[in-house]
Formats: sequence, C-alpha cells, structure tokens
Amino acid sequence: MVTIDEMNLKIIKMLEEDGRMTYKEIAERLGRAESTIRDRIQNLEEVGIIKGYRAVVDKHRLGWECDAVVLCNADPFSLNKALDVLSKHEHVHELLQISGDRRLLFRVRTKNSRELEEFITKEAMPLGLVNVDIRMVIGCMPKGCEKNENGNEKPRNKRVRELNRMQVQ
Amino acid sequence: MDMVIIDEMNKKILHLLQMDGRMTYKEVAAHLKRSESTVRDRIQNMEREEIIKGYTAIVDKSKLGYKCDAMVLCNIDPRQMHSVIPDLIKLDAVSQVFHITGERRVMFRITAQEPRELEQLINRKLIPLGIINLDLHIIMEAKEKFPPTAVPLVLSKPVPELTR
Repeated sequence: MVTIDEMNLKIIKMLEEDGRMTYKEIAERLGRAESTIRDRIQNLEEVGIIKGYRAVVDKHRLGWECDAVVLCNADPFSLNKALDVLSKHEHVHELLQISGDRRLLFRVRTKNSRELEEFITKEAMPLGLVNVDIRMVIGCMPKGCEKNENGNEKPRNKRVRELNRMQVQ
Repeated sequence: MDMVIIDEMNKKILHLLQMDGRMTYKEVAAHLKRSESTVRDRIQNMEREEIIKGYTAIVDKSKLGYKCDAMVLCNIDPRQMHSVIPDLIKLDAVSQVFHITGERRVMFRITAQEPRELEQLINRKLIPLGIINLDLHIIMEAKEKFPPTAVPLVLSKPVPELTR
C-alpha cells in the first residue's frame, strides 16, 4: 500500500509535466536522496497509480488532420460488442460511457474528412450506433500548454524550453 | 531550421516513445539496432520541431481518490473566449479543453474527489469565468487505450515486444 503524501503528489505532478525527468532531477528539486525518489516512483508504478509514460505527439503534423468527437447511443443489444470494437479501433482515441441523452462519447482521428465519413458509415454505424452526433474538434488545449505572459504557447517540453532559454541569452 | 522528415525510423521511434516515454536513447537504439547518437539526434530534432510536444506520466486518478469524473459541454461568450479558455485550463481539476463545433462549442473534462466538490467547482470556479449553458455528463466508465497507438505506423515488421 502506498500512502499519498505531499511528496508523492509532488513527484506525480512533476512526472505529469515532464515524464522524462530523471530520478536525479526530481531528487534535486525536492531536496531528497535519489534513492528515496527512485523507491517512491517504483512503488507508485507497482501499485498502478502511475500506469505508464508516453510521449505527447503532435498528431496533426503527422497527417492526422481530421479530429472529431462523436456523441451517440448504442442499441442495448449490441452495446458490449460496440464498446469492444471501438475501444480497439486504431482511429478511436478515448471512449467514455457517460450520463445524459447520448451515453457514448469517443474521439476519432482520421487523415481527412472522407476517411472520417468512411469510418462512421462503414465501421461505426454497423455496430448499432444511433443518434450519432459528430462534432469537429477545431482547437484542443492539452494540460501544460498554457500561454505564458507574452501570449506565446509555453512548450511542454523541458528540453525545448532549455533550447529557447539558450537562444534568448 | 531543417524540416524533420517523418520516415520509417522516426515513426518507429515515435511508436516506442508513445508506448514508454521513459525509454532511454540507449534502449530505443537497441530496439531499432541503430547507434545511440543517431537515435538521440532524431529524438532531439523531433522535440525541437515539436513533433514530440512533451512527455507525461499516465496517472490513475481514481487511485488518488478522485472518484468523480465528468465531461462538460458548454458555451462561453464568443468575445471572451480567448481570455476564458486559458483560465479554464489552468484549473487543476480541468484536464482537456476542446473547441468543438455544434450547439455547445466548448468541451472539457473535470475531475473531483466527490460530487460535492464537483458542485463547488462549478459554482465557485466555472460559473464566475463566464461559462454558460453548462451541460454536465458524469463519466461512468472510461476505456482508455494504453498505449495510445496513433502514429500512422506502417511497419515493415512488428516492433519487438517491450521488456521493461
């Protein structure tokens, strides 16, 4: 069992902001021993509080230009199958069962709108989805991309931030 | 600045780093059978070009006591949109903000420890920001895909199993 104290919360926050921070960097910031930090992080990973780490990739730049949120319902008899297929589909990113008049919400990314249309009509609808309400995502702000004082987007990436600092000096 | 070309090798690197963002240059190099310096240069180039925007730990919020997770669809006075959205994303409880088409043009996710806290967040933090037509959907179940394989990945052969 891991107790969530102040230090663990600080560690989690740092790793959410920069998942590549080394044990040493975290230890320095918190003024603790590197071994303490390593043990704590390994514990957090073991109990599944930290489920993993991932690079945040600009999907738009990689050619996934069409981004949509779909709100819909599924015919109760095919709900489980629909959930299963959608959750494994490469175009579906997040799948939520929510309260409200449309009880499914998922995010779809495709290369273009034709591909989105094909996905919806040929793959999603045959799963028994009804009342399909497609909303295009025209802007997305992930956590950590807050604008700074100058109105520029603050790079999430610690290494990029360092490069920028070096250019300024 | 040179444009980064997303070739087969960069795609493989992105794939690996999306699966495990803490992989060292050395480990990535071992998977791809390339030198560490090549891999380091490529990763740093993609970071500089912001194809890799950052790295993040994936945290199970429910294990931290956050039992109340919701998606909010709402509107913001169009004249205030630019000033409200940055304030919204700054709130600790808010994790993703989308500008979408449709009747309600803003969608975001909000996480609280319990329903009472959610109610307080809405009344004390969200409403004063100028958020209107607030439509709250409680998330009952989230199937989150991990790793999120989203890079258009056309691999000639499968990436070897991760052993970390």
